[in-house]
Amino acid sequence: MVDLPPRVRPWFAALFFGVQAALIVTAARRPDHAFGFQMFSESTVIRIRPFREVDDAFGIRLVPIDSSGSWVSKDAQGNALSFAWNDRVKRPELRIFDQWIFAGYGADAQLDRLRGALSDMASHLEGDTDTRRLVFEVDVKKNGGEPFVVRLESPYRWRRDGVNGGAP
Amino acid sequence: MRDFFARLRTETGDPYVLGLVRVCVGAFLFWHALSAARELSALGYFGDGFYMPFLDALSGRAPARGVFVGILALRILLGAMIVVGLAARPALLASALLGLYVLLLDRLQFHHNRYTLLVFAFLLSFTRCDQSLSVAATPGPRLESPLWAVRLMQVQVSLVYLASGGSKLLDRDWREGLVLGDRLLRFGEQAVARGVPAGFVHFLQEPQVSSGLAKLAISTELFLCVALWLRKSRVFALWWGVMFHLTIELTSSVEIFTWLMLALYALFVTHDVRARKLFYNPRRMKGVALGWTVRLLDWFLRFDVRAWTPDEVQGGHSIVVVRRDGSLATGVRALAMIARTVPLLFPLWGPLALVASFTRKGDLQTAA
Repeated sequence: MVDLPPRVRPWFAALFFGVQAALIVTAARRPDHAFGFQMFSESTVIRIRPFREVDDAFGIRLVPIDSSGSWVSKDAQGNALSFAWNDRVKRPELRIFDQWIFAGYGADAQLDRLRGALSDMASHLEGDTDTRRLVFEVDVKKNGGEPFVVRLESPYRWRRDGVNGGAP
Repeated sequence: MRDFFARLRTETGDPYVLGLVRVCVGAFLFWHALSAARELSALGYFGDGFYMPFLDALSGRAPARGVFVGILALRILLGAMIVVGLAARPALLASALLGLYVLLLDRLQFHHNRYTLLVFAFLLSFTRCDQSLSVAATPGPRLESPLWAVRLMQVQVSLVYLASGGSKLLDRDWREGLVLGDRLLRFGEQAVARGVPAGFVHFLQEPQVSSGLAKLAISTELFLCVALWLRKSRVFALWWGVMFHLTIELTSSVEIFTWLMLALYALFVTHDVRARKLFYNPRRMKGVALGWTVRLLDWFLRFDVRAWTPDEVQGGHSIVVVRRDGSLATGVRALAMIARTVPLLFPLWGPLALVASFTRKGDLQTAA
């Protein structure tokens, strides 16, 4: 491998550390503080409670999804359709429900990832005419403090009032 | 600063120790790639399900499964090549870039220690780390090599400590010990399982103790970022850093981070070889044992180890260390000197140097 010529080295160093400094300074803007070397930034545990939001003869309501992450829905013809959270979401920290788990990269990172996973899953419920959207209620305990609840919602898949084109 | 940049152009040194760092970094890269392969087998290919790219431009652009498997296989191969020193520098660069590509594709796989490893692999590829402990090393004496990339790696070590310590300092929960206290509560059992006495762990979990520890941790990281550069404080900083990282290893799960940082500490040793001498008495069991121990564990090649024929002057000692400056050390001061320069024995340097400091010409000073 060719060595950098001496006159280029200081420029390379300046460029490299310029990039490093920029990544470190802006790390707080990223939910997981990535590229900022912020080890052990939090001690947070979360508990995810998953729901489907449906709109049927009983009105708009939340139907709990069981802790295995699987549920049965309906297609337009009323046939049963099975779905499982694990079909799309592989990482253990995003698919353990109804249990307190450690959020290694902190609450913001975990919530951001869960939000992304909800949207992804909701966009892959092919044929499901029952589920309007997916919802998580996430209990968060940050740094040993009192728990609080954060509600995460996927985008609507359909709405009866015609927004998003109504029921598929 | 100007002097630092000027030295980047001209400074040279013996690259021997860089070979050691390369072997360690290569082993870590190999282990990481292997872990990723195990994860692929256990969880399936991330591109078939939900993943989160760092850049919008990479959204929906995960490679086909077969391509990803090929990338993983290549990373494993590159790790092995780095360890043995076969095209080690291009392999380091390729491994760093491929690893970074995978991290950018999916932030769910991001871990600080993985990114840190890739950054150091990238910088190491610009050093002459292939001149020692390498199947491709040219026979004969090693040539003095440019140290500019080594200086960059040293700055990067300081930057890691500055960023980590600085972010904790700015966080009230961290300063007050809430983060550390809660972690100690959650991972206390893990520490006990790894051999830390339960009573000691319970002591650390006390709010006042964890608050003090948090301040100590922040101070340690900020201290290391500076003290590693100062000649007078360097050895103590390295020893304190070793203790700091070993404590983290015992109480947390940090993948290879502990071992990576300890391997990188080798960058701070003076880049010379066999600048010290160790004479041992071949007629004394203790002398022979120490002589062979140093020969076996002197991975930085700090010592020229020789047996002497005992005479009236030297007959009273099992070992005599001749320092770089020609001064002699015997007894506990010689042991402290050995511990100071032999990596596996380095954790013993602190207590030995403390004891030696009570003797005439103690070894707490960092005289080389």
